[in-house]
Amino acid sequence: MTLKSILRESDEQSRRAFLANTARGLLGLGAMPLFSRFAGAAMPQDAAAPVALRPATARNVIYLYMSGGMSHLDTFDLKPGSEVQGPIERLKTNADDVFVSQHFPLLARHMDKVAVINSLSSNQGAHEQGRYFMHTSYEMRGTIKHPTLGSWVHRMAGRVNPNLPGHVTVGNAGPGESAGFLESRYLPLPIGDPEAGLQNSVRAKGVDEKTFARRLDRLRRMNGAFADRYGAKAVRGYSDMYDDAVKLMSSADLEAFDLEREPEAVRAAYGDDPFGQGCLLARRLVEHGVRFVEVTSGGWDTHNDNFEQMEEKCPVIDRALASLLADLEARGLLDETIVVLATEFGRTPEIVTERNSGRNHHPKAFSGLLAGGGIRGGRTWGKTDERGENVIENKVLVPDFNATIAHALGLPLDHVLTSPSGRPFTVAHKGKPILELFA
Amino acid sequence: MSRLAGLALTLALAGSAVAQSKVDFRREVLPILEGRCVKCHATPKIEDGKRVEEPDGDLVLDSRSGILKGGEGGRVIEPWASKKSRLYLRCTLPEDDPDVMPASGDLLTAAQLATLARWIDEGAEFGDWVGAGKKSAAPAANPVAAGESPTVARWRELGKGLESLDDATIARAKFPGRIEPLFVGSPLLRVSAIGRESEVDDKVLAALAPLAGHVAQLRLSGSAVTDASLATIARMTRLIDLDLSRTKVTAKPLDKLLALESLRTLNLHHCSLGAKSGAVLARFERLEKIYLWETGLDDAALAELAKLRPGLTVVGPPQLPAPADPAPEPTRRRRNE
Repeated sequence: MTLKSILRESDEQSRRAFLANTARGLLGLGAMPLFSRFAGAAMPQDAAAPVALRPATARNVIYLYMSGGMSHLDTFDLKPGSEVQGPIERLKTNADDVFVSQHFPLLARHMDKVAVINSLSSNQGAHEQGRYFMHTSYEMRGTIKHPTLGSWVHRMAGRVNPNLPGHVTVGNAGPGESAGFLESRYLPLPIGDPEAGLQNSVRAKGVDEKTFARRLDRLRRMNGAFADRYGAKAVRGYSDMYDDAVKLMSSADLEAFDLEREPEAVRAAYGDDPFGQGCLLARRLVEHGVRFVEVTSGGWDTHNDNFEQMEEKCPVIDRALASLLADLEARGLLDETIVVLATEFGRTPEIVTERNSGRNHHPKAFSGLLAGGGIRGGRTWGKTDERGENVIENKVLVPDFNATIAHALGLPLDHVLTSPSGRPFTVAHKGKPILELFA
Repeated sequence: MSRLAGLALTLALAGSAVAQSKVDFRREVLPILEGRCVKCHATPKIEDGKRVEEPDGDLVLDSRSGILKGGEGGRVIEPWASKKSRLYLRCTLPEDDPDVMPASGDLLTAAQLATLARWIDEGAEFGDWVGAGKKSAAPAANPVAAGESPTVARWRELGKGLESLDDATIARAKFPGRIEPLFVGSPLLRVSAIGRESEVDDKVLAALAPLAGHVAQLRLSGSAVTDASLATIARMTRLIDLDLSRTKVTAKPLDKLLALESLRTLNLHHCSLGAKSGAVLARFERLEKIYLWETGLDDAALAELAKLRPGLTVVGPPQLPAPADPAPEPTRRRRNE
């Protein structure tokens, strides 16, 4: 045994774990010993063991993604009186040091829970590359697909509730839906429409439980020999998928996906729109033990009509996020759930009058939010110059932002996962967590 | 004895739950370092303004700062995690491995390895030892503890001197939910019923008694536990966070928990406590946060409790926004329209 193999050991699936898995697949043996060894040793119920967690102030993540590039100047980094500001006014909040735009009056009452990061900086000015960078902490390249943060978290921390997916995305198919080089079991479960819930999750009409069990058994027998001979990641991924789906179908936790169970007043408070209902779904899922939920809000690419679009888009976020924070707090969930609001870049200080006051892409400086999960709220971190053009204090690079989330979750930032081609990668790609943000 | 068997024995010794006093760095670890390591890993001397006798691998093991700093490959100890500490791992390699340490002479004995591992797993504390180099230097902050939040510092403090339970003890409790260490290397446990709520009842909880002194976080939200479980919970002397929300627990036996000196967060939302339960809740003097949404206590009672206990954060019902007015007719001009 070499040093390297010792260090890698906790990642490699042991032969016993493989046999246990295969047995589960073939015989439907779900009841594996609850406890194996402490400290990240192989857990038979997962193909790859979660890693040993550092002290964690957060256990779950709700990741709200503003796709298209949210203007920092018109949301959380306002420059009142400046020529770059346009018509939007600044609102005071319930925290002394924190201001928001006039379009966030509801959220303004909860900013004591939120840390505003006004010094985010990226080097990716195109949407696809920017989103990829924000989600993976790595720059896009042709030779490798990197896992997104949700997949990293799922892989490293493991599931909370064994019956539910470790990782769910809500809203339009987005950049969050890739497990990169990780096994397909670390893909999120995508929910397109939060109000429709989980589709096709009940047995088809006319198929009784016995018939269903018989069909599954036949499937397992047919696949068994193949899986035995080719125990590759992709093959396991397929059988895991079936197992998970069947587990979910018969689980009482399926109700987590059903928004009909919420009182009408709560549904209305979150807002009668896909993003608001997506945030409500995220709260339900986290409550039931889903580790990571990403909810996407699209259409932030305001090259045209920036100010009119802000007037339309911000209230949706305002209502949903204010409700989400209040709801999580009352349930005691905010202590262990880190709520993130992120986007791929900000927008230019210059207002393009030819396009009815649009703003273009601006990766050099932009804003994001962190709340809950050990983050001390009610303050602003980092600063841009008087035009909102450059970061002049406490620059936060994209990997630093993600490292802060990973740090809250206790994920060891130096833990190396190896791609199938043998290349080493770490969560948040050597980003430095902002330790000052923690209470 | 083969090298591997020796390693296995070492790990077994290191992981055993026998009550042992904490490793004393100066008395137990330093002799190993001085005897087997510092010949090649010593602080370089300065002669004529030049460093002579550079340490191998740029690693210095005769000073506190050197050990904390590590060598050219980075850090060599990860406090609380011997299995991630290269100072220890490199010494556990087989004799013919090119990376094995010490590079010359015999390998470390199983007992020496066990001492090293235990020292690291107990947090790698040096006591008052500073070692070679700048004697006047202030004691180096622990590299992991530095920048840690007060919450985490409290967990460390609470776990101090406590031995980890062995797996067999935990397995015997047959708890259907999750039991996990609070974090790697911590003897404290986080116990959660999530995903198995309906199976976690008073009987199941009572079986946790042998673990009671180790439980720091207990999440029983939505589970089947009742008032009868409070006797079990009252024995969890290191409990910091208790979540009994959405259970049948009432106010009647809550005074049993008054003895829990470590308890800081108590979640009781959607428990039927009754309008008069404020009196007993006010007696939890060390409590920092309490969740009381939909517990029978009205706004006035919550305000009264907050007034009685200024240090306590009382969380009531969520202040959800009122439903939006129907969307106004879109008046704005759209491009391309």
